[in-house]
Amino acid sequence: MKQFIKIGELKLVGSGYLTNSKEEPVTNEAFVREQKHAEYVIVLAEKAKGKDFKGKEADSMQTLRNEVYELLNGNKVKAYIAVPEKPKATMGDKLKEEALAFIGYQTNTEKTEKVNKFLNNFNSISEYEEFGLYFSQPDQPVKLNKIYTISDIVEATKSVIDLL
Amino acid sequence: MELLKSEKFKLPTLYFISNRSEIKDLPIGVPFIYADVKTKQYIIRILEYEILYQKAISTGLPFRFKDILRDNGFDDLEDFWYNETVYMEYKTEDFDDEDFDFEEECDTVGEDKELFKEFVKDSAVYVDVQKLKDLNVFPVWLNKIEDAISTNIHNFAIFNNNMYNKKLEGMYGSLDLVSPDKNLIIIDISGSIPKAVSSTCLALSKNLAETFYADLLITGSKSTLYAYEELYKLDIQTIYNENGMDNDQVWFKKLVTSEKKNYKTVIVFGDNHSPLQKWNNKFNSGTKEISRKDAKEMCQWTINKLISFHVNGVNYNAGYSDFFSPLEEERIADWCKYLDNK
Repeated sequence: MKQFIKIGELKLVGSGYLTNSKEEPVTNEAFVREQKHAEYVIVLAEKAKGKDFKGKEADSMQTLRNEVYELLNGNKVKAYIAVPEKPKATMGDKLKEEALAFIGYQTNTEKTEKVNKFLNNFNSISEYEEFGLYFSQPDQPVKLNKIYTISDIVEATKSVIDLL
Repeated sequence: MELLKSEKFKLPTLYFISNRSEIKDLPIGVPFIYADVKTKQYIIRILEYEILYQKAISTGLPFRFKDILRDNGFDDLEDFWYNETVYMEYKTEDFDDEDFDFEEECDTVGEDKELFKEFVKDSAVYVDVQKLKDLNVFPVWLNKIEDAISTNIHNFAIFNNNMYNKKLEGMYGSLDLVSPDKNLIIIDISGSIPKAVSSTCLALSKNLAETFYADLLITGSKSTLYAYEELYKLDIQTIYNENGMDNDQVWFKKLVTSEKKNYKTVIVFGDNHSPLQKWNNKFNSGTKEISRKDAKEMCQWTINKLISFHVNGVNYNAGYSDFFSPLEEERIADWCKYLDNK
């Protein structure tokens, strides 16, 4: 028999059995699948903190040689008077600012689209939080470690979207 | 418009534009490359090669580029045939081209295959894209986006002065804007040219032509001129099959002698093979040698500056410039790197 369960009415009892507020086992296939997927994303985000996936770029031998050459052969001129201040290239600076803002906007838009697309994998959890979901009585009780919320998933996804 | 991405490693910020009208939406300085959607993957490959090559160069240590490519997952490398063309003063007594079926010689992968797709795998040669960037005729991409933007803003007025005014939305009173002279890019795709050279030049051709305000002339067994306004007609995927891979005299001569044209700068990619020589193929029969003097006299195209990209160095100009009498010449060195096979 199906029962409509709203946010706050689901519980994990004992070692994590998913139940209604009366502690009767319930399940919803999509909801449970999405909770397990969410758990992977959230744990991945926790574990990814502080990790470096880019590594360090090797130093350039040529740059080093240039530095040594400059150091040994460069003509150092002692400054007796202050060097004039470089004039501001107003137009150039404005154009550069505009170009960088465009790239920033494009990057953010692209990332937002990617995050939103990924979060659509969790529509059942969102529906449960917004309206409630029909759950049925399972043949075997379903176990979860935790019931994750959309806000948990959004935070985790934002931090690891490039790894997903 | 989309940001180009590689599955192998991070690329410099570079927008891929396949819809010409989107170019005007980009602020000045933002690096972009204009090409057909179908060629996107080849453009990415060119960028990947460039990053690996520049990194290898920057170490200051000796390296074998083919090994670096293989180590980075390019396991489809091939070495296609090319030959080092002999420079001749068009006295071909010792060279009986009647006996030499160039089309057959150049038929390395068969007519049914898409030759362009095959040729981009060529690893006999590496084209140093930096040498093209140094021309300052298209927006460059650099590792640091701020540097790329600054460079592009600086170069912008040089390579597209009309667009500069348009972009700035300036008011110029009674000043009449005069259309700038067009430029021309000639790409020799004949069989003697290393396939990596012709395929790389072709992959970048629309971008070069668009940003440099240039017509594009592709020469194989015949020569086809794509006017700047008709660049959309150019399909580089089929261009080897359409134009053939021998050399041409008839079609090229017809182009340069039938109509007066003024070009500010002509960039020519090629080798010693020239339209002055006699060629024999389905588009060229009964051709005779033409002397350099006669060629220059009959040529109706005037050009201000010639920039030659000759695959074998700077001793000669690329052959398909032989009809022209430029006021100024520049020969680009070390842009075509022959890779060690050992």
